[in-house]
Amino acid sequence: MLAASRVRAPYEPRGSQDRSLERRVARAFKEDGILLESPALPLAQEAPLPRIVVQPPRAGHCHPASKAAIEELLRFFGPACYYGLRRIELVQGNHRDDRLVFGRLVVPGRIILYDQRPSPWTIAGALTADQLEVLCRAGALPETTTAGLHMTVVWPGETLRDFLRFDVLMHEIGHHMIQQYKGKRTLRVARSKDHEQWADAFAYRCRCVYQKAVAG
Amino acid sequence: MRPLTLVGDSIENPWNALTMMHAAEMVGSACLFRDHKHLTDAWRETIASEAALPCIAIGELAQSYPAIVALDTFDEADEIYGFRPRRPGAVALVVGNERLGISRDIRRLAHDAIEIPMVSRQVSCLNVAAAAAVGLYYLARGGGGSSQGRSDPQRRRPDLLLMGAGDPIELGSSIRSACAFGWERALVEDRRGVWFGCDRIQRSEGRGAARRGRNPIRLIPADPGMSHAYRKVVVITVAHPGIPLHRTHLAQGKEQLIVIPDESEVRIEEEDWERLGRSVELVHLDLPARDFVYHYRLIASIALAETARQVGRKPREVGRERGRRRPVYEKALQALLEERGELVFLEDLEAY
Repeated sequence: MLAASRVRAPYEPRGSQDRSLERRVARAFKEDGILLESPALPLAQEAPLPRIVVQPPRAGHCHPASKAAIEELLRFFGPACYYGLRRIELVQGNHRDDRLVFGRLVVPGRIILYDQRPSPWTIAGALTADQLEVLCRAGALPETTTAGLHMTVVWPGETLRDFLRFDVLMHEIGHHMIQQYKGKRTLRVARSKDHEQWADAFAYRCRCVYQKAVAG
Repeated sequence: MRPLTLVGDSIENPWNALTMMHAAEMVGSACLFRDHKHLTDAWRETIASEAALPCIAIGELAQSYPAIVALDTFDEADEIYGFRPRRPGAVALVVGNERLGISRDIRRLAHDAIEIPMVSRQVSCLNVAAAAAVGLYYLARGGGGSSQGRSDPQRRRPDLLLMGAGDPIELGSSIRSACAFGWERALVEDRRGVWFGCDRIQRSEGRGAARRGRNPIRLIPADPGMSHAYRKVVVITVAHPGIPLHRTHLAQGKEQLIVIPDESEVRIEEEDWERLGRSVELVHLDLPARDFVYHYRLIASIALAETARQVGRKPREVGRERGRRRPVYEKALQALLEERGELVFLEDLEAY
């Protein structure tokens, strides 16, 4: 993990707050009986948020987690979580992809969140038990219809937004943190399975912390 | 011909080892194994009826063979087409494990490194026995023509018909070779029903051998009675005399059809070849040995390698390094139904 001062001011040159010279001078003056007033250091500025780029969604789609919602979440968790992130992009998904793709981390430091259909979703085919569990944990209400050929997923209230924010964005940030803090930003640093497990656990912890803070 | 020996390094699958021995038989050479992965035990358990596995230690390999040639995908490797070993004397061709490649100590020991040029990015290696057969074929021939850089190899690439394969693994490995050598589509005449409409076990065996998960080749079912209108049809055979394979022009584009029949199932003389095109040519794949165990994947891979050599490939861009692909982590859900369409009966539709 990087030092907190570095995380707070990632673009400051190294040694920008080094006070050793000032202390040496003050000591020399003190030997001559002159006491110098120590000037207060300027407070380090908060690290800037990564750039968030928003592309208009496709017709009939939306970005469930808006730019403001993402910024609010990043500010809540602080610079330690977004250090090294270069940009977050809200983009249009690929209509040719048969899968439901929510987000992607392109190492190093680029997170892509795809637009989604508004609730309810109609999915051709069935989802596995693990996938259903992920959706249910996020608050979705999946329902199988038409002899198992289709599935309807209803997202009540803000659950879809929170799914995108925690289970997708924070999950990808979890992946990013593994890469970032291992110092090997462009190489795979863990087995995919371990990477995914760690990112899932990180997203879950973030959701718990956030919900506790909001409730408190 | 120089004495040639095939050496399998760290091979895990005993069936691959057996096919490698048969590949060595095809060119009249011996086959030895350097056992790192408990191949001897697996061999004893699964292929008990066969003779004991012939093994060789690394010291013996270094002493017995003045020219050791490593066949793998090294950066500095020469293309197998037109290759001649630099050192005189008996040649040992070493092939390695499909996943792990040749072990480091043999790589250091090798005097030459060669590779079979691959076109596909998704399927970047052949089945180990198929690779060994291709390597042995070109080394036994002693050089031959090299591959040419072409700006438009796909226009020169002929269509491919894989005919009458009797085993899903053999057919799957041949399909894998076709994809690796750059074919984007192939016709499959599945007379024995080992690929289309087969049972689950055969299906999984065949698809596994073809690496279908990442193999994008488009397979088109061809009916045995179907007529085609190709201008030129080339039937590649080992049993019947004909024009030698390397003297045949195999890069005439989409008007040409290359037919690779499984000669353990298809009788060449009884086939109506005229239905495939106007001009039919029997081409002979000349192998040094006359009696050997026929494996479709070995013959098909050699035929495909020679065709790919003649088709050529795009020259590698100068100054552009092979870049490591950066990792991407994705959050996505995949629905269970793979098929895009469903079979619906009229009465069901009415009820619906």
